[in-house]
Amino acid sequence: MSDFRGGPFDIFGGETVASNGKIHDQILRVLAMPGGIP
Amino acid sequence: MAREAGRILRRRFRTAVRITVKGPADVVTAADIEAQGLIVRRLRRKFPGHGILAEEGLDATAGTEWRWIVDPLDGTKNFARGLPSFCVSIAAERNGQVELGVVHDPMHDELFVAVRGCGAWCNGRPIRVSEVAGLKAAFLGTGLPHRVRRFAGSVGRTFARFAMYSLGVRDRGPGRWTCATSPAGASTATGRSISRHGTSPRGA
Repeated sequence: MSDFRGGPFDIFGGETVASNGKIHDQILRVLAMPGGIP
Repeated sequence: MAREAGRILRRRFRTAVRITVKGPADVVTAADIEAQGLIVRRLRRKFPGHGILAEEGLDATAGTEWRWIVDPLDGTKNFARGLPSFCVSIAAERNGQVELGVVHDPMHDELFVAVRGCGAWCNGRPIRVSEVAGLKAAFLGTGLPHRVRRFAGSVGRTFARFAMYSLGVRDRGPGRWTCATSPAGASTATGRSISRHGTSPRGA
């Protein structure tokens, strides 16, 4: 689990990415694309 | 305890729901309050020294090693509109690290339990995340921000990208329920997490 930039998950952070680990970086790359969720 | 709270939600589902509007997108029902009351009473009896952070205005956590984080009705808006996508969510945190998570879907009679370092179960049977290694083969779950209007354009673009690059994306309602039931074991969510003021964790 992490935030949208791959940082530590924080219950107060307001962002959650949860995955099986194998696709985590791929998810983060999509989230980092320009014009996406700030 | 989660099942007991779930029975309250199930009993009140699609009955005359009294809704209190907390804000532009927040509603709270009598079911929230009744289910939270039951959970808090049980926790206080069983673990009198533990803190409790709960959605409907309870934050009794100062100086405690263990803290229970409770959302008695995760998916209130679905519940209030008669959509059977909601759950009871309970977590236990020790010194800031989540050790235990419980998600109960009363409409499908599914109880998900996960314990750090031990595993996860659905109705007592072991479960695990999928072995999918590529986004193209992954089925994703998401919870859109609670106040999506503020980020509508960027959220829409991100949603479209995931729909394009994966096998599919579903927003089934409560984020924790989505995480617990997501077949690909992958989900994203944004919005406010539960706050120290006991406000809504919906969308997270």
